[in-house]
Amino acid sequence: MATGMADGDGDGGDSSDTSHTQATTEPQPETHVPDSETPRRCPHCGFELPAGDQYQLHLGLNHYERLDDVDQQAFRDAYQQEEAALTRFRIIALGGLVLLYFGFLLVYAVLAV
Amino acid sequence: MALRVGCLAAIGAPLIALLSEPAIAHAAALRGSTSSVEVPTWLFLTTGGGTVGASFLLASFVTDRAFMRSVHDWGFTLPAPGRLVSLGGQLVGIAVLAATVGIGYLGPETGYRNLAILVVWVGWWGGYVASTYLIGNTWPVLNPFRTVASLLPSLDRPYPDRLGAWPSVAGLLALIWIEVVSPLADDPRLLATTIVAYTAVTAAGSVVYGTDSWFGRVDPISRVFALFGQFAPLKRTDDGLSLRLPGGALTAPDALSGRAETVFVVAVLYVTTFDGFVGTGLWARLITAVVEVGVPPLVGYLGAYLAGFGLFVAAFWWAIGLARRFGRTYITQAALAERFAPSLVAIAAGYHIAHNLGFILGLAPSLAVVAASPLSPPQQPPVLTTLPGWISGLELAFVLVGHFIAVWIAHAAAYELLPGRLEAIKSQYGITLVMIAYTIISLWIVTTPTVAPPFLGGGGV
Repeated sequence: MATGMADGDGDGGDSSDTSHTQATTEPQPETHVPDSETPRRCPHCGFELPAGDQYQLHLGLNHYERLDDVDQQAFRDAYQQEEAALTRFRIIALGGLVLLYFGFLLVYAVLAV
Repeated sequence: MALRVGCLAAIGAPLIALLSEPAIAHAAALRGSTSSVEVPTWLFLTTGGGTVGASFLLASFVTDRAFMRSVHDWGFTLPAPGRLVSLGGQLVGIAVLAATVGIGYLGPETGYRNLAILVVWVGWWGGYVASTYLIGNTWPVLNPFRTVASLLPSLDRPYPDRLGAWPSVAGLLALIWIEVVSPLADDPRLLATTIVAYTAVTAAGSVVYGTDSWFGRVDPISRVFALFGQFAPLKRTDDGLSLRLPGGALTAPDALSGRAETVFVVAVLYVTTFDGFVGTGLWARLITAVVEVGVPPLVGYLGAYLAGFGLFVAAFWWAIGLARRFGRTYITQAALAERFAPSLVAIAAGYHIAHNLGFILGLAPSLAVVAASPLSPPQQPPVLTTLPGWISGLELAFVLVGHFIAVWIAHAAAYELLPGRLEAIKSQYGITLVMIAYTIISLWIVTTPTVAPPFLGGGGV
């Protein structure tokens, strides 16, 4: 429903330079929220995100220096949880690579003459 | 088209051996041995697709945003070439244009003996285009049409913003349509007339909107070269020449803006594919069947051309829809498409070189000999008939390398847009599937035997 071009906050208050921080002066991409959902709007740049981990991760990645301790902790938790999910994905990806490699190896061994 | 067919037929042995069914992968040829391995075509094609899928899985292990950014920001700034070099480039561009048009009208009527045909299709559309993505986009300087137009006065009317890049999309589709259905690659007189007409159109457009607006926003050829230039390692900036990793500039957020530019990228990929597709046996059988039903041939060609384009756009749009769903984001599909589309430029570049390398190398001696005496060229200009076998391997490698870089660009875009690392990986499912499908299609087109497209009546060579 809500459609809008969210501009970066651009007030120059965020001059931190850690690897987590993106340039917040960059305009955020246009968003469109389905009627059935209630987005969280970032208080620092106005960007709309699904509530929960996506919102926490956005806050931490883009505005870490401006967060209070509670939000910083929430970001670290979300990041840690994501790490666990990523590890699971990596195991599956590795399995996929192994399957792909040996699958082709086998097919070539049978068919290539 | 027929020129290409003739040349390809002449290039001969290694290529034909490679293309003949069911043979494909001459693994041993790379080692210079005489024994070779033959695999079924479907296996060869799925291997290509599998390689692209594997590169996506490998890229998914890279989740460090700071590292990715450092890769893309890697580069140097070199001093810019001076005014004198630019002036020299403009003069060269004008001289080549004048020679091409002049010889096109006055030289021999046979396509493969006429300098105009060789300059345009071998030198320019083959070799020069490759330089725009392998080295850098020099077209803004060389562009003779722009040099001609800049000599004329201009009304400097404001270009309507709502048109955006749509005229370029239409212009590109129209140009390639003309190239495919007319004997433009065989008939030097027709080619020269087309170039004159093109000069007139660009001059008129520049008079109305100014050269910067026309060549920066409307002219499809300039836009293609500008896109390829984004891929190239060298780029002209205000500070001089910047040197970057190939494709590095395509990860920038402002690489494309607007829906029309996104569609234009898809169009660039599509037109080169269609140009190859009409030269396949499958298309010859399809169009023959359609014409037998009673459809006029040109209608059949046009229908397939537009339907194929629709299919490409739909496939890309579908992939972006998946990106939006798996990425758990509210970013609009259009905004996502804008960031994912630049990856297709790398694929288009890889496909272009794979499609043209054998053709350029085979006809380069002709170009050199005919250029030496354009008005009385030899009856049979020399052609490289036997290219070493590894050339065809190199062509396939270019298709794959283009896809690898594309996978990386899509990966980088996803990580710039989405806060969740897992969501960023999952958002690439759709575009990766589309890339795998396109790898299979393009490898098939590049390696399938070329035949003259039926019903077009070119057939000069």
